[in-house]
Amino acid sequence: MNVFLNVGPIFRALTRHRFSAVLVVFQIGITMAIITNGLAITWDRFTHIERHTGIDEQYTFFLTSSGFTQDFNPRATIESDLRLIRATDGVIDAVQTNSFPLSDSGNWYELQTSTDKDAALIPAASYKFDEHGINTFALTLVAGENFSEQDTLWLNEADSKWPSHVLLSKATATALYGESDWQSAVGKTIYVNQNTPIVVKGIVEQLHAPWVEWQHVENSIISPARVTHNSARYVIRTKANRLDDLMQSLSATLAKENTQRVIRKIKSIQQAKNEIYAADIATVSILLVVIVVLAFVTAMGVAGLASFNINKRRQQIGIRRALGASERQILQHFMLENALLCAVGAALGVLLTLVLNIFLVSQYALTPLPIVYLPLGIFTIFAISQLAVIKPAVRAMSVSPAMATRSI
Amino acid sequence: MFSYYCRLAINSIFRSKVHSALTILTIALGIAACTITLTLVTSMSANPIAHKSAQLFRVQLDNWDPNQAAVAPNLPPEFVTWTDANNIVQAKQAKRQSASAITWGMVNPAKQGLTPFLAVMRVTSKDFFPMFDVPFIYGAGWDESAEHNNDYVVVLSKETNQRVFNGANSVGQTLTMLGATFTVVGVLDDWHLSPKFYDMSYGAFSEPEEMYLPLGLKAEFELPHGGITSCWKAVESERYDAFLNSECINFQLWVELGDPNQMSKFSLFLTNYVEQQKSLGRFPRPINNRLFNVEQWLEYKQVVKQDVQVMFWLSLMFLLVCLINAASLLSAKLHTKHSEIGLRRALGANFGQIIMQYSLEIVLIGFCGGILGIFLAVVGLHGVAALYAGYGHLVDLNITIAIGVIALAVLGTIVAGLVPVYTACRPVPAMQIKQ
Repeated sequence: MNVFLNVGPIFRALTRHRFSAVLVVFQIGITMAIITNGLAITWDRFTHIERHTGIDEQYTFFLTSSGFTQDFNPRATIESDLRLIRATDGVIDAVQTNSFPLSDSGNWYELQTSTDKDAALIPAASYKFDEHGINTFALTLVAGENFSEQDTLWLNEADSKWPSHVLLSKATATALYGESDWQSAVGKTIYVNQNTPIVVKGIVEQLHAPWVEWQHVENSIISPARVTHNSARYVIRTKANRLDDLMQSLSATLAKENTQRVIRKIKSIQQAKNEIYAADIATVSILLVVIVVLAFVTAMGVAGLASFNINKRRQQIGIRRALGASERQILQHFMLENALLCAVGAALGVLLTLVLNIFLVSQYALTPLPIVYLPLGIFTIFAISQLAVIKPAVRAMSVSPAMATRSI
Repeated sequence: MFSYYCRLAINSIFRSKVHSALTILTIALGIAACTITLTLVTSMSANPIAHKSAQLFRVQLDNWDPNQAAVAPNLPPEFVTWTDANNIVQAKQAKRQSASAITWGMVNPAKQGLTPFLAVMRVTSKDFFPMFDVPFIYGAGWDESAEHNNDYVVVLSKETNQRVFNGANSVGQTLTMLGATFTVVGVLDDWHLSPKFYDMSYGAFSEPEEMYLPLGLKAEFELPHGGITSCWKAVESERYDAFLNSECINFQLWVELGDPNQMSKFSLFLTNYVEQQKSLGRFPRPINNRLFNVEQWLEYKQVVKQDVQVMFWLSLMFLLVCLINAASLLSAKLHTKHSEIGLRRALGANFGQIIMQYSLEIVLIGFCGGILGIFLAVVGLHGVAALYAGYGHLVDLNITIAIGVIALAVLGTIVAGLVPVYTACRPVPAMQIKQ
């Protein structure tokens, strides 16, 4: 027997209990609107946080060494520190750098392919580190080659000298020379801040700027320089699972090695990332909790209504059983009744989802809901409500046909 | 009579424990969600200096690139240059004026027997303290002559004083820092404005600095440029004074103006100032000065995170779902009470009395839901506090919100229970007894 033949009687039965049916339909509709929009925002944030920065985020940490005495020698300190760090067991490589992705501090330059007035200005975040940088950050060289030791310049803060060669991120090369010609940047001369000519020595696959929300986050330029400062930042990549112990032991060793400075701001890249994205991580976590709790509340509501209806109709169920309806048919009846309510609720839900999304998009800088979320939302709400009704429906199934003969 | 209804209501709640607990929990969850987001929204949109909000003005001048506005479409930059900061503060055309910036340097309290540490500092003008009602426990800010002579004076935060001087009155004591000897002139009491409207370059809810020094010392000690620095024109050389003389912006400029009259006088002064600078070859853009009071400034900076506002709307809908759920549960429960209602009506209770009794039950349920909701919200806010680490006092539940949401819970439950109660009480007694 076709189960859908039952749709008519079930629907008519529902119209006899309009108030509770309408409540459930609204509950399902609003729940779907919240869950669908919430999931879209959550996924959007999640993919934003999980973007690749181009570096090894898992086993890298950084620290700052700040000299504070009059006779502190920044250059000698950097040289001996780097020698010590690189020779430490468990360290893959290390550099002194002005900045790194996810650090949120640094500066940028404007690059041009010629000094023409109308040549486009391409902003790119500036990184200054020596030839060990590629290995330390685990960057992939996709064209040209790395610096040699001779390329690296020692600069002090007042020095505005530029090294003769630089590396670019692929996105920067693409912005300068176009989608198909980015590889041709190698060997070409580009201009920094409209006057300084430099030659591109190589291109790395990806290296993010230090500021995650910067609109040109993919653009960066690496110059082989070590800037001496009383404060120096070291970035250190370790072998797998050595991160935590090296973070502790290395900073202690460095502090002991030279007492004219303090070692501070010891953090892993992962910690820096969690801090930078704290608000986004909070949004994702809160929304996920809301979605789960809401699913739970609505499931409870649906289950509650179903068991109430079943209790009220125990005698009717008994009569149907006595007249020959199988247990399966009783189960089907309640599942189908629930599916009907859910279908109406989902139709309302689609409408509410879109209205809510239009409202949110117009008020806040959100991206419009991708259309695939609608079927996803409908599926979720059906799954929630059908699962919720299983237990009461199974109870209905076990109502004995003898019930037909009893009065309440 | 009232106490009798109360007893009946409580009896009825306890008779169906699971059902009542579910209803209360449902309401509590909705209330908790709303309370949490409402707390976030209100503390983010709080005006920490409301009593002076209309007298404190953020000064913005447009010294930017002639070909490109600092902030699209046509807004001036948010900070000012060293040159303008000093000129405007020294002109003394407002009741009070202060320019400030974040910086840092090494403090070496060897005399106090402590290891050196790096302190985050604010270089600022003496008016900064009276302008923002900064509370002192010991001493005060520096005076006119100290500011003028760039004396080595320092004001410590309460924590720093605790760390270095063990919390004792350190006014007049000396402290070795930045390679020189400074004299402590004042110690602040706890002071953490949230949002930190006067300088939000490290976020609207960042911690206040550890010490405060006269603005002029920034140049003398060549202190680093903290906060946000941005330049539209390349700096001529990498020398420190080249940066100070450049068009690079970094300084937070605020003025206090007593009345509207003073305000119009001050904005006229600003116009004249920019005109005069134009004649010196600066300020290539059209005059575009802006004076935002604290309220306007907070609004402009969109301190309330949009995500939080979105979550607030979602939590309101969440509450709606919870109330609908509560309505279904109540309706189901009252359905089973038909014969009881009929019996009571037949024994002489009138329609109003019955409505009264069941309404009381609903109010009780709503109230319990509200209380449990507040409790869940407090727990939830602890979780949220961990997520928003570094946002400070964002997540303290305030008593107005607490009372408000309990009222909302009761009101919401009454609305939710209205139709079920009415339908349950309406039918004629004879029919119900027959069932």
